[in-house]
Amino acid sequence: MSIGFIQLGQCGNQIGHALFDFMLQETQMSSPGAQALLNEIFFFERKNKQIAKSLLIDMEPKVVDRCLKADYYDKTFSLTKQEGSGNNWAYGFNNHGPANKNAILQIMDTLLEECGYIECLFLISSLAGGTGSGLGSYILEVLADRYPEIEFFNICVMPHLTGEVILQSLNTILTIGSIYQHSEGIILLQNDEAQALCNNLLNLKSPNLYDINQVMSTNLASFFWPCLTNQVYSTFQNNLQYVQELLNITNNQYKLLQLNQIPQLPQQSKAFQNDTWSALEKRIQQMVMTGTKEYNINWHKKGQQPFKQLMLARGIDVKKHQFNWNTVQDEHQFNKNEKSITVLHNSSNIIESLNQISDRANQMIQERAYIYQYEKFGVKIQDFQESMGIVEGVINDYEQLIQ
Amino acid sequence: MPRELIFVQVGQCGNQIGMRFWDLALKEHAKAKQSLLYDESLSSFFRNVNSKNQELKIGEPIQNLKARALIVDMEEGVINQILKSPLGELFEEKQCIQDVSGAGNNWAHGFYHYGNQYEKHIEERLRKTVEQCDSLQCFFMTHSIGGGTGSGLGSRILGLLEDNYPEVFRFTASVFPSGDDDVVTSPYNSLFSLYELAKHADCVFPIDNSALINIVDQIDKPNKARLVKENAHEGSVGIKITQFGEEEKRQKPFDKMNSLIAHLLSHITCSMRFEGALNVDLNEITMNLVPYPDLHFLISSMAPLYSLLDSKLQPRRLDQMFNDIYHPDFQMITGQPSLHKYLAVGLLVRGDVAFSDVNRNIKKLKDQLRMIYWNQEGFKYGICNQPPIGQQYSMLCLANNTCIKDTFQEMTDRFQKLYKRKVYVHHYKQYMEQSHFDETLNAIQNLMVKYQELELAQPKKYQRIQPIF
Repeated sequence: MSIGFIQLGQCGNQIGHALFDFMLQETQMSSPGAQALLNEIFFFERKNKQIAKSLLIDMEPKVVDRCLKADYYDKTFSLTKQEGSGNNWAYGFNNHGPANKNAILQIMDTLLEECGYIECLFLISSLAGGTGSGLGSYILEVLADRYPEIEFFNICVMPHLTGEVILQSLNTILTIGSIYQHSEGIILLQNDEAQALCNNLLNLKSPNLYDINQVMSTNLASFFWPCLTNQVYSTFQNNLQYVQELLNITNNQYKLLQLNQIPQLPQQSKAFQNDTWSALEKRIQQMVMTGTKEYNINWHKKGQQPFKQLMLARGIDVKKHQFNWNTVQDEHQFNKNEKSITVLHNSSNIIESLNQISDRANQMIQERAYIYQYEKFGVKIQDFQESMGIVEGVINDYEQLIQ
Repeated sequence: MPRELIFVQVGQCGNQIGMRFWDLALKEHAKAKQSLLYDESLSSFFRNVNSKNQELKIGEPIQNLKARALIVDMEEGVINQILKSPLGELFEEKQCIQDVSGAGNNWAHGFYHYGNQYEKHIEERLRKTVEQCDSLQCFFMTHSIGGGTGSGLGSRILGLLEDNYPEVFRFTASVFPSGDDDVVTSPYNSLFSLYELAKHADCVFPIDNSALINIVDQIDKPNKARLVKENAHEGSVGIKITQFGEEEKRQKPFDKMNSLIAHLLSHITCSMRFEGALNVDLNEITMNLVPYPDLHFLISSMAPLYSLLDSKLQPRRLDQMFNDIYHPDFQMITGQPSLHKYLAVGLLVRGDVAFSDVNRNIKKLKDQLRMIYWNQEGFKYGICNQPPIGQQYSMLCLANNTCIKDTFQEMTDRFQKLYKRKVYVHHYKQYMEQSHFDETLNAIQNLMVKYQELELAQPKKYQRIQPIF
């Protein structure tokens, strides 16, 4: 099995970098079998070095330059320009897209040649900016067309709902409107949630962007970390078949996925963790069903069964416990947690955030605020309305799931 | 491949601001990187040439830095001063466009007479400067709009920039005349310039002298008290007091005021030059803060202020900085934004500030600020790791606020006072038609109406778009 990433824009590159850093760090504490498996899935050998199967793309140089300082990235698989996208989705999509299409296809081809084959690609980007969202949407269309045998997924970061980039609602609507048809599944990570986890659980009163990226990439890694159910390398049986599992929990209508991982603990507290599997399972199930977080779980509501979910439990004595939901079990103690559970779920509690974003975008569109910036680069009111229609359709579909 | 900025300093005020800016830029870069290599961040403002005047690439040692700038003045005094000063080495003769007799505080003289005379020359110089850039980001013009050269010729140059390089952003730091301005024709000059700025600039940072003097006064007050106390101990009271007593108060502290503007310019461009957790480029500033193309006047305020000019004072706490920035005392232009509507707010932070600190403070302040209903979350923020000289951190707030129409109204009133009785109009009619006066008045009034509409806008309930099935 072989997984690749495309890191797009400032956020995409920061998260991708943090993800690989974390996974390499985690290999220090795992069995040689797991290390070998990790290498096989996410890395390939080039000139005697292990290189990550990842493309680094950004329209301004600073972040990618920093990533390239790591051993496991190679400049051959990166593409940067000077001018940035100015948070303008239209500029990213209609201008940078066609201008860089050939260069991107070329580095993609090179990557595929050198590493053999790639089963599925995850495009990591934020929803608020111009490059990750605009150029990212264009590239997804192009790549999905060119490589029909690869499954494409998105990992998208939603900005703080109190505002980070003024155009975030407009850019989010345009992005979701564009990628929904080409992507097999969209994993949504939220800045708000990551920051709240830092504040409430990880004992970080003033988390900076690095901390927030750490939280998100650790959660992502808890999904990607290869499972060795038999502690034996040579067989892939019972292993997490990423593509198949992901395709099982999404379909043409329902593609939005969320990631929850417990427990979230500061490093110094991990030695004192004494949850049982039963307790952890109940907690995370209630979190998933009510859409609440570990620090404010709502135990009073009955909650809504997710449409589909994928649960991974890692840690001591995991095989001895009987889980209610279908669970992939792995004895590795992930991130020094004695026991931890990750759930990737497709459920309707994302609707609240989407509704807010849609409302704000709608207001701006009706007032024609900022629209001239997009019109300058070929995205007109009709395009906004079309994307809004698609997003409303998605919201509507998920609302049907709520009984 | 670096991303360059070209500076255009026009007129006496523009050039004096420019000098303080170059001084600051050199100090900042010297502090940021101790090595003597010409790197990417330096190349946004400077070229590197050897003794034979050949261009040197990035990564080579610094030999002779030349500023990417165009220096324009229609009288000799200021330019000669610049070239004779230590900073004169940054400029080559051919970057300077000068004349002898000045524009007599007459906008039309600057715009039409000198504009026509020097148009080709300026375009030629511009072309050469642009060619020396790999990936030009924007033009930055500094000028005052009350005089003749900076306002008239400056406006003309702005138009030329748009005609020749429409894709490149045009930012201006324009000094607006304050109430006690000593140039009698400044009401005419400033309104004509304002019209041009509204037409041709992508983004304007208006600044006025009275706001700057206010800021300098605030900074000096505790300073004076402290220094007086120090001298009392020393015993040589008599001699020292006269140094910063009455004499200094009488002169306008132009040097300090220009330093403030230099800091503003440096702050706006810092994300382009230095690394940061959340970079904000200049094109992002226009994209996020200008919802409608005409309304591109941003009110700037900076905090903490006093340490800018005197690093011996205590740095304020971070949260205090966030509160200060919305106080009129910290603004570079007089106005009351808290009594009007904010259309968008940009917060650029420099130094070691956590992402969540910014977020937390924005949440707190949101309720106190009157944001327009369709942009309740209208905050754009950026974090740059490199702090300014002598401080741990600082913050710049760029607000698009409807209070700017009050400034425009005052300017229009002063204009009308003179125009009603056609005072001095004959000076301008030498170069242009009288209809230009009426055309300008009309245009500015339209602009004010647009701001007024947004100020009074009430939330409307819009139907959400129906889903596509």
